Amino acid sequence: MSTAALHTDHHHDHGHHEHKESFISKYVFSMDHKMISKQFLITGIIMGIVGLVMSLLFRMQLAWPDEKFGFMEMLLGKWAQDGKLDPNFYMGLVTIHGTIMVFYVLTAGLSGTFSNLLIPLQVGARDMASPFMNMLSYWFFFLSSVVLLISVGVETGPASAGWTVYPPLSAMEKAMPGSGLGMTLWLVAIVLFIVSALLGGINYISTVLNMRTKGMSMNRMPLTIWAFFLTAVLGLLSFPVLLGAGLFLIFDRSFGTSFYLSDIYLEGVGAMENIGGSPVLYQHLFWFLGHPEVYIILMPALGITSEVISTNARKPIFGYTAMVISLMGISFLSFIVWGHHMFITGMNPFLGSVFMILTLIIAVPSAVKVFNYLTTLWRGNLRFTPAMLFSIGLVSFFISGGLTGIYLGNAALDIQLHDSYFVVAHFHLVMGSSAIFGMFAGIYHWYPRMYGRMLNNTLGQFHFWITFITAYLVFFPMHFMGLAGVPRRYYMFTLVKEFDVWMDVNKMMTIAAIVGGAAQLLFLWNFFYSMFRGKKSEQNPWQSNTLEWSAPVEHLHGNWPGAIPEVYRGPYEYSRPDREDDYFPQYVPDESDHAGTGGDGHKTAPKRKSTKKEEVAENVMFAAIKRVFGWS
Amino acid sequence: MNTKIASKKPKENYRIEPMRFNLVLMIIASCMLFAAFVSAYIVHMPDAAAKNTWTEFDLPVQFMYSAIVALISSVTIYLAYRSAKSDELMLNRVYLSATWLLGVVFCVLQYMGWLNMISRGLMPVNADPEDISASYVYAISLIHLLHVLGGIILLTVTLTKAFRYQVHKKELTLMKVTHTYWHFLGLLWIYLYLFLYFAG
Repeated sequence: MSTAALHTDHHHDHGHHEHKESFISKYVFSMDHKMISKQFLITGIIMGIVGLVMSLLFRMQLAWPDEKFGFMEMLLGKWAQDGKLDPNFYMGLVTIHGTIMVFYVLTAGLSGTFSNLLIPLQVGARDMASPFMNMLSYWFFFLSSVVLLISVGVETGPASAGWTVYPPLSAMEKAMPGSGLGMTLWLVAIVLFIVSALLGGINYISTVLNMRTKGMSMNRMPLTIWAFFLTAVLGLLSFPVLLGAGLFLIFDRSFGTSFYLSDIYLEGVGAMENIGGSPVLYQHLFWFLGHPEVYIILMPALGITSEVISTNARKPIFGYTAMVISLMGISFLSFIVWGHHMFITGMNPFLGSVFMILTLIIAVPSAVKVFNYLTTLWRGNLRFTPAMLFSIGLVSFFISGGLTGIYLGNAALDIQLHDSYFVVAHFHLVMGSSAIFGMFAGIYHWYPRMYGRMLNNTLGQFHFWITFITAYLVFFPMHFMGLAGVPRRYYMFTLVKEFDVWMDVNKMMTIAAIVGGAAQLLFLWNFFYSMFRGKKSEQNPWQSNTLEWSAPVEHLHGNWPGAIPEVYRGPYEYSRPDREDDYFPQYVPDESDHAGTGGDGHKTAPKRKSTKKEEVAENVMFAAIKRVFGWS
Repeated sequence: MNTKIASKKPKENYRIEPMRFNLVLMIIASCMLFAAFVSAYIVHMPDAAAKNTWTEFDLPVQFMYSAIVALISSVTIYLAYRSAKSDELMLNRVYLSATWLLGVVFCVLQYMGWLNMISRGLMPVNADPEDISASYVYAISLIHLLHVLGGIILLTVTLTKAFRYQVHKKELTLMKVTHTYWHFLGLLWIYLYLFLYFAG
């Protein structure tokens, strides 16, 4: 069956009928996963712009601390009187920038968009397990975004305790201006966000485990799906812990309990009554989510990269099984390394060394992934589409940022480098830049699937090169600043003579940030212009193997007009020597293909046995669930 | 605006109905939330005790009664499920109503338990050292109670459907979900009670 045949086969329409949808049910309170993915993407882009502008504002303060910028007063009012950024608001900007980028752009914007778009389409399901919960997931996210943005404009200023909101600054309303209403709204926003993440994550897991089409065994799932699935598992197990930490924080702030507070003297208020609390307890609870959160951000980007690199190298992904095991290894390890964020809390050195060893072990599955990307690229028939460039960019950032993770995972070094610009450099490369490049790769690759049109290639190339170069110019020098002892979150460095040497570097970094920020205008123009005027896309513009390219682009709740296509092989069978075309879609049957292949696309031994085994394992798992919950 | 839409929920490829599978995952998420509270309690207790800011106290007797009510309501919800399965609709309504009432009794007992603690000077907000441990008991029981309120809403929906003849042996999904969630709530409270009883 050819791809075209599959799409014109409308008369085999099982269980569908004409149904009138209003504007509201189609575009606003939609329960269609594809529309919800667009909602997540657009909201994520808007939040990304806000986060980016905030970073430019505080970078300008760092580069030109004595300058006055009239436009800042126009933009920020009393927080930038006479064009000079207020120190308290500077802290607020840093805090909200981090919060927006970590949670709203790289968690919901990335995972929410692509998990929603691709999970049902790539596993062969009509929609998510619960479309209603899926809709709720978006609207909780939207509400959370609104509350967070409102918090920036309150009289006393936004939350200012850093994106980790450590107590006591976050637990006492009078600790600093940003500890007031802004902090309360931050907590409300995060609670709403967690509800959204849980509703979404539950749906993703349920859909992947429960609703795959015929033939889509686990070892035939695209690596995107593995990544989204494991990301959802991480979220399901770690976000409730952050919720617990946040609830205790709310109790301390609003009801006067002392979970995190003890023996505090506040200037102007006097000695606080709270005794017996432990601020370190918050750090334990926070980082139990905080570290898996790094992988909640990164793994979807890695999954997208696997798909894009394999497709555009016209080669099977190297080591499919190793890639899956690496994702599993990273997921497991991410739960037992949170202590490396707390080496300086006075923890027992033995415990520190345990966390250190476990942290360093993460380098193994991470390196497996990097080597597999490189070996997939090696001697591939490379197509340098913008998506491919952004994916290669991700690999570059993952290496350069990941290597410094080995430094910071070492307790002896971390104690020196903690809270310095070295840490800022590390996570902006390995987590920030990597994940945002993965997100761009996904947008460029699946834009035709979302909107039925192509993004402009030339603008995409410019967008990539400017962003890639400026990202390195901004974040790479921070390593050297950190090694020289420059601390993060400082408003200005002019009072410390030793740091004068970094002023020119600060200016260079800020100019690079402005240029990089301006380059995003190219992307925005390309994104919104192409939505209406872009070149119309072919059905499968990248000659890709996965199932989503078999479904029509037009709005169709249920994805396929006829029966859901079956899957006959793994997703990465590119350039098979026995085939004329250099791709072999998963959904195209081949009579001679008795053996079938695994996800890596290498035609080796027949795979029927392993599929059977896997089916047995799955059946045992589902039977166990049914038994435990008494479901017959 | 004419578009095509699946006429009803697709039946392809389900191993377990999505609603029930989602419930299992929600229960796992709830378990993680309470695991966080229990872990915080375990970590905090020796630290605070060393600083003389942690005092042991007896749990209110109403919490034990709550555990007994939870056990009885587990039996009634099971009987409601079994009667729905065998199409004994009147019995199903009776047992569902009994479970609903027991749920309300559970909430009242929790409230009385808090009053009991307050009468002994164990306030939610700390004024004395022992309030750190009391704060944990208040917080954990409050969050559990919110889960129970969710369960009562679910029971109300199921009961309403039962009175509309929408719960029977061919339409058991909601009954199964309610049944499972109610057992979870009961088991969770018994675990929390035993934990607080022995650890505190």
